[in-house]
Amino acid sequence: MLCERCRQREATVRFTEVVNGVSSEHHFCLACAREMDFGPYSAILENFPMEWLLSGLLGIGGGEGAEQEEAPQTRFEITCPTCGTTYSQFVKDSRFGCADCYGVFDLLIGENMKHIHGAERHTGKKPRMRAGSAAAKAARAGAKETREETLQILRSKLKEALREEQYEDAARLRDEIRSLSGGDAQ
Amino acid sequence: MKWYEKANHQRETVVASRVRLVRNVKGHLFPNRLSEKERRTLREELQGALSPLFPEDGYTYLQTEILSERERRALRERRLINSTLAGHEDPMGLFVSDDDEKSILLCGDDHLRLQNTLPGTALLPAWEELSRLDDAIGEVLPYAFDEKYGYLTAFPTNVGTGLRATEVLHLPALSQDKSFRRLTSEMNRFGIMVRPVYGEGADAMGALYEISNQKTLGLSEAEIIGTVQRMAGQMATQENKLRKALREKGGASREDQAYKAYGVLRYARILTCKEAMTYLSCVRAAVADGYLTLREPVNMYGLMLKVQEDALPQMGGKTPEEMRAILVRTALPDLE
Repeated sequence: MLCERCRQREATVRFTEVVNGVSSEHHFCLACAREMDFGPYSAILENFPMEWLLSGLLGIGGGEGAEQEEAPQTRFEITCPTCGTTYSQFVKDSRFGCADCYGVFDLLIGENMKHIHGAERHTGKKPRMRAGSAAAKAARAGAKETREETLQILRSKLKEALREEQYEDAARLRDEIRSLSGGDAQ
Repeated sequence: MKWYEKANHQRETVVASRVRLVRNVKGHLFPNRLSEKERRTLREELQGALSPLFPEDGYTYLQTEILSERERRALRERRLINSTLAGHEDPMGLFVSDDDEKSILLCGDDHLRLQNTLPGTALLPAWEELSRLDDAIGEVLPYAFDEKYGYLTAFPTNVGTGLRATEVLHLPALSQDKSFRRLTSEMNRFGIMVRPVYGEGADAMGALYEISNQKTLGLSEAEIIGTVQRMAGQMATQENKLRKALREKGGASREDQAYKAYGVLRYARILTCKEAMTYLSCVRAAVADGYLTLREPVNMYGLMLKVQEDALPQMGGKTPEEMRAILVRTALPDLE
């Protein structure tokens, strides 16, 4: 589903509003959601609660109390478009629903990955190519490297933006990274 | 014959080495997101793709939902599925080699869970075998892989290499020593987990402990295996030092304990699991330290597996405790 505001990016934030007992649901991308004014809830998007993820992983369950503060009137959700796993579900169960969740929640989980693993990049073995189409794969791998380099640059810019708390820039960079690495998905 | 049934004179502190890899296949949701029907379909698909790699002479294929709860718990005791999955009736598939060394679980927490266990200190050969199997599977099934996060898994704690390397250690002296707690928390700082194989905390049965890596991302497989092997080696050295010191201290008390343990195992008519584990552990250490000499070789670790609640054979008119006593006294060889 596309973001109903910019109609360009994938909508990953679900916003439920209850007015006079009638609930309506809106879908935005993270970048738009951050630009919009949701009153006190904007703060949630700007400083996305990283500690929720950690407490979920540690099984403390701090997420529940925090959720009660939001509910029942308004709720935000980052949702994986492929499997429908929401960020709060992920925080609660500490488990992803599909391979695409990693891309969707990438920005939110990076810090915690470092907490768990002390690292954020894989350095071990990679899947072997199928022998049949070795040539085609090799050609693709060649193209991939330059793209991988671009991605590296974007990622370091993103880190910089996050450190400077430039969330708009960060969201834009995140989307660029995603569209670039998304082209790789099969 | 299973690897833990082969009779041996194993005296080493390191009982076994196990490596496990978690893999998912591109284009499918992870199993917990699938309906029962979708899960079944995916399992059949995976089984179809993998069955040429696991021929019937050498491997057995099981569908877990047709097993009883007890049979599933027995699989858990053999470390072929985890305890959460043992409690589920979700359809899973399991290829297991006749010697119980290699197993591949389909549609558990992840699409595939590959495992290889070898007796003694053998993490590296176990890994090399499993990695070859992983490559062979990777040629028939496209793995979900990401340049940044590596192999994508349902739990973020497995992502990256998807590798868990474990050594099973027998630590009867060290686990009773006051340094044990400090040592295990020190291990934690190196990203190494130490936990009892059976039971929990102070209630650990049989003094069997698993030493394994906590982190899976950002380290190569060789680094993970190297660290686990080194840390497990250090613990084994500590254990052996303590046992040597106890031997040198002399006195009849340890010898007496060994004979009493052997006596109970040989003559008791009722054995609880805890009793059997405690005395088997004691006899294993006594044989290794030279207090007892058995006339025939026997696999003590295999016996410890067999006396577990759900592994015991069932027989009308006999309680599990009686069955356990029969099993132990027939399996335990005479003294020299």
